[in-house]
Amino acid sequence: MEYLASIVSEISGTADVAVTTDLDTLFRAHYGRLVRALALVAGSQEAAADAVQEAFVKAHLHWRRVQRYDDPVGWIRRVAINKLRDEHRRTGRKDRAVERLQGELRSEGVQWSDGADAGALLAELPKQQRLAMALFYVEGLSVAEVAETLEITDGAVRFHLHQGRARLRGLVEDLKETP
Amino acid sequence: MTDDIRDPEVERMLGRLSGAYPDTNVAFQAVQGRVRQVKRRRAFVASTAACAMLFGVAAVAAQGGGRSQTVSPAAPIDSSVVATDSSAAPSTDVATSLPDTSVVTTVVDSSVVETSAPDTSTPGSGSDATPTSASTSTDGPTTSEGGTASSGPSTSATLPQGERIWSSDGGSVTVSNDNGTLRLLDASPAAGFEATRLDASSNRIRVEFSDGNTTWRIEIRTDGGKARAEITRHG
Repeated sequence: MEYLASIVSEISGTADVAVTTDLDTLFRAHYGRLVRALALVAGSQEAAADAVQEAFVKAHLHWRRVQRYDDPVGWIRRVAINKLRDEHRRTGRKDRAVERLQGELRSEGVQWSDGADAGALLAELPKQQRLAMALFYVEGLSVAEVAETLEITDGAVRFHLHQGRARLRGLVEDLKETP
Repeated sequence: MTDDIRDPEVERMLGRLSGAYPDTNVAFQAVQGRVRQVKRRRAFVASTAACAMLFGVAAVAAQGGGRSQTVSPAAPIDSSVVATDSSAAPSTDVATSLPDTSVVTTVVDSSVVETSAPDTSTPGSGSDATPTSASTSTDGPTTSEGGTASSGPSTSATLPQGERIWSSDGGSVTVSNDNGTLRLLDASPAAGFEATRLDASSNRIRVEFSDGNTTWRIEIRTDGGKARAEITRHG
């Protein structure tokens, strides 16, 4: 019944104005940060933008339900991350290698303070760790928000952040020692 | 622990790696375009489903829903003898020789008069009758001939109220009776047959089903509250 009502309101266009206004505000506040954060995981900003836009489309279509959630942006973020995960599952090993290579190529020019290629170093990290770091360091979420998004505990998030940071620094040290 | 994970240099580096801020206006327009596309697709699917449902309901309604009684004619024969299970009926029927024409006569109100095999003539005895319904209420047998639809002493009964389906090998008609006023509700030809409505007045319904070689005619008439139906085959 709710589905039929939504179809009717879609066809008549009565619900569009309110939805667009609300979503416009959310979109402008969160889209950029979310895309930049997920670009670190997706390997490219285009792939991240596609996933985030898809999530906002779903939010628009299910806005009656989504707007009642405590954290609609959290829902959108989770949908985007799931979309990325699905994409990664779909793509084969070869595609993933190309994607990773593309990610590394795009990071060309971004270097650690010691001169190491930051993109290549980041690609060495496990995906969950990269995701936790992206949400925490780039999107600016709190540990609790990252934990809720990834559906893991606060302790696990702290562990990932600590490990990720240590591994990045360790890899830099390794590079420095290599003649 | 928080100090352990806070690292401005990592933060700055990841910020640079994630690239510049995307154009929000362009992205929002892209999202709106995708939303419109999905809505169009949904509306199309919904309307298609609604149409399919309507056609399904119409098809079921056209087939009568299996609610009415059906009278099926006997196999095509050259001549026919009408017999009933009414023992009170006088012997008035004769076997007629009508090449290429078979006749099946039915009497309404659940009584069915059916043709027997060719060259069999046992009018009035009831021994050869094959009534399809127990509630026979005939006053006498009826003979009808294909094409000309001539009849002998007429057998009639009160037409039951409501809808009823009359079937032949060529198709079926659905007729309603509202206090003696007939109304043709539907004529459904069998596969390969075409229906022709010859008459659809308030006291006579006449429909022919033809496939080019064989023609089946179903006729229902009322006269002074009495009614009768005839199903005849030509060719």
